[in-house]
Amino acid sequence: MQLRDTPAQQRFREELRAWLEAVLPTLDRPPSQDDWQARRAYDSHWQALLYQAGYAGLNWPAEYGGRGATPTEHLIFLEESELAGAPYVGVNFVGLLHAGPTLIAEASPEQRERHIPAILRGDEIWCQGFSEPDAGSDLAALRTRAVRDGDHYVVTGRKIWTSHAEVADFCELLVRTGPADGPKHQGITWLIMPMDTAGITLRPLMTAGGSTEFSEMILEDVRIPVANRVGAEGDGWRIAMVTFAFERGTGFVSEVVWARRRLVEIAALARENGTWEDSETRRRIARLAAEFDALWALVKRNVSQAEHCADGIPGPGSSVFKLRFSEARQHLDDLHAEVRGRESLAFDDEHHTYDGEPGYERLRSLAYTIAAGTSQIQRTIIGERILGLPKEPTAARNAAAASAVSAPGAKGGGR
Amino acid sequence: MDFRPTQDQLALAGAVRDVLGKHRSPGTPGEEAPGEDGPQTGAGGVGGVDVALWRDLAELGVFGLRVSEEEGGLGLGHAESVHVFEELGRALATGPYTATALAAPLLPEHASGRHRVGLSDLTSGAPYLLEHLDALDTLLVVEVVDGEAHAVPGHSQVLRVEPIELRAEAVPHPVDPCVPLHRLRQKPLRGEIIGDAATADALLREGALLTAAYQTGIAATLTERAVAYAKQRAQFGRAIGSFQAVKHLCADMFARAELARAAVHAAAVLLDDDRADRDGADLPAAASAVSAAKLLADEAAVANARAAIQIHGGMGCTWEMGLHYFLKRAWALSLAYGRAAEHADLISEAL
Ligand SMILES: Cc1cc2nc3c(=O)[nH]c(=O)nc-3n(C[C@H](O)[C@H](O)[C@H](O)COP(=O)(O)OP(=O)(O)OC[C@H]3O[C@@H](n4cnc5c(N)ncnc54)[C@H](O)[C@@H]3O)c2cc1C
Repeated sequence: MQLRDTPAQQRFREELRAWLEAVLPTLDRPPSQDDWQARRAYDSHWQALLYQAGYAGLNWPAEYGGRGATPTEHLIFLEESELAGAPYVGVNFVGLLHAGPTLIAEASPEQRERHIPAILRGDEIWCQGFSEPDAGSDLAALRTRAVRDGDHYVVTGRKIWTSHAEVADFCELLVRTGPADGPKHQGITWLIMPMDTAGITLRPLMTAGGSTEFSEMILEDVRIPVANRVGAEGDGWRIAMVTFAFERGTGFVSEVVWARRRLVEIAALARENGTWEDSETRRRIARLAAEFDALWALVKRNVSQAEHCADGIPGPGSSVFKLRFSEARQHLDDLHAEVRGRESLAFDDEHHTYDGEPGYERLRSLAYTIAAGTSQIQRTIIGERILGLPKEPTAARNAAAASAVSAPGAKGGGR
Repeated sequence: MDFRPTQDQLALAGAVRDVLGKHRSPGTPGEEAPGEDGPQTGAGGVGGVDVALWRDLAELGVFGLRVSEEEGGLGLGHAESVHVFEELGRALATGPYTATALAAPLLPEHASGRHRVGLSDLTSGAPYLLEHLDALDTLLVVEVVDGEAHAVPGHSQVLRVEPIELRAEAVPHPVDPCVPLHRLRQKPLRGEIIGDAATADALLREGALLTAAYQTGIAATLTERAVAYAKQRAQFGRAIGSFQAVKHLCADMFARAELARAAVHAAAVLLDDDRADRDGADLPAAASAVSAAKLLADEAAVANARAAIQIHGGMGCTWEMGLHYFLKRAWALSLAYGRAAEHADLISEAL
């Protein structure tokens, strides 16, 4: 049990540091966050630089153009990039963290060949069309229909909260190919939808922070080639679940480093403006520092475990991290606002990059306890999958139970 | 980096757990508090050190864990100690384990565990309450150096005091019925100075780490007990653990224990690096990590004890169910080796 770099890891870290130090000053200022084409160009440029330097798809297998790096090297990459102030994955999030790993695990050789190198180079942007107006936490209740017509699926339905849809080239789309009244986890299929297909209408939605990062996506008779199906028809639920673990496991990791640094800035500001004299404020800052340090240790524990298990997939332990990090992150932004006092009411960001602007971060953090599985859903995952507590009765399970044991005098659950 | 516990560390924890399993634990439902030489306290329970358990653990070498092999110890580090102390916490082992283990590297003749050592931090002034006084062979006192006003690092020293020379009265009803308490009439004035400020700070820091590990054990074992009860107890025709309100309490308990353990292990590893003077060793960072661990583990132990009682319903409040022992110990330990506010202040100084 130790936290020190091996000589190889130390070398990797030093090389990366030197590269970041050389390349970061060549970047332009990030564009206004409302200018989506500029943001795409900015994020893609960064991804291309990573690709040229051999840092793209670090933890992807070498046979798919990745570097085959260990989970620990990936962690070092995330840590050093954040410490150096490198750009985030941005619009490449879905491609690199979700669609890419899914394609590696489940796609056909042709599909991999077609998409994986392009994702790695930053040439291809993906979005995620999973959630629907009536299928959020209960994702398996999704209703977007796909009907087979020769070599195509004809897709009709509505998706919502589709991040980066406006600039995406492809969408990982979950559709229902099975009967509408069948078992809800079966009959779901995973499709690659080119975003320039006829019949797709995007209606941008604005977040509380004023960002138009996601859209409602209306699909009317969208024809998607059957060749774009990943995995078997009806096997989409399993395929989607494989990559959720990745999203929860590594999606927020570098933000712990960010949060810990932010805390030092808040402490410095508090010393400057006198709020540090208030012992309660000071101790709340310290309490959060303890929390983020412990979360960072938990990340290292999870990464060490992933490094030594066969499939390298983060376990359900990532739910503990997601739950505690997202709540701590909100406390952090609240504390920052408190230390800033009335200053926190003014946005002074003339370029609209919003990059790190505390008022904007505070609004953005509202989504942390919702996206990628709400806090309530994480608690249920911990309770059922880690602790083995019995599942809650649902309408479907109730019906199954009722037909299985129609025992006379059975109580109805107190309702 | 490999932050997983090693096979040896897990084996050590397993060996300690086996020994603990052969003795009665105060938290077990229906058990009375064990102990042979403590005063009668609490509702029929007997407080104090379980001498047979102490002997068995001493034989395993838990007191000389960090003493070098030449001096008769096991030559291991904090990373091993915290595994042992998490087990002690799970079983609610009662006695001056922390102080005796802390004293061993300082007084290697104590590595065998044949003598029991107490430690009292009197730097914050009255009240002067001592634990397990009647069972002690030696008492270490951390005191503010004469003329220094503040209980801050760098202003204290370590005295070695003979317990029998102290004038103290037994507290009739200590909150934790397993841990006899004595109230000193005055600060011990006489004693041999055996350590300077650096020694004093190191003792308190290491004590905070071991206490945090013990609290993590409390938090973890209570999660398991609450989950087991939630699976077995039925109301409204279903296991109470299927109700989300209960399930989510259990999930939060688990998250608290996991986070506390990660913090404790990180602090142990950083302290070991500092002691071995390895590359990148950083004592201030290690000290902050210990404070973080103590803060989170205290919180986890107290909050999980409350949650475990809540999940057990009326039974949770009974003496018989034994959960109160954990809550009482968690309260007591959260006031030992630095309270939350003190550790928060230490962390904030480093920010
Ligand atoms: C910033 C952001 C970006 C997103 N990006 C995408 C994207 O790119 N693609 C995509 O497909 N989706 C995306 N989402 C959608 C996200 O996955 C969903 O918002 C999330 O799964 C919750 O679903 P919902 O919004 O329908 O809320 P609901 O599921 O309706 O939940 C409402 C409330 O009820 C609670 N609740 C629901 N079910 C239960 C239950 N069984 N037990 C207890 N409580 C329950 C929830 O915790 C929540 O508090 C994004 C969301 C956000 C905020």
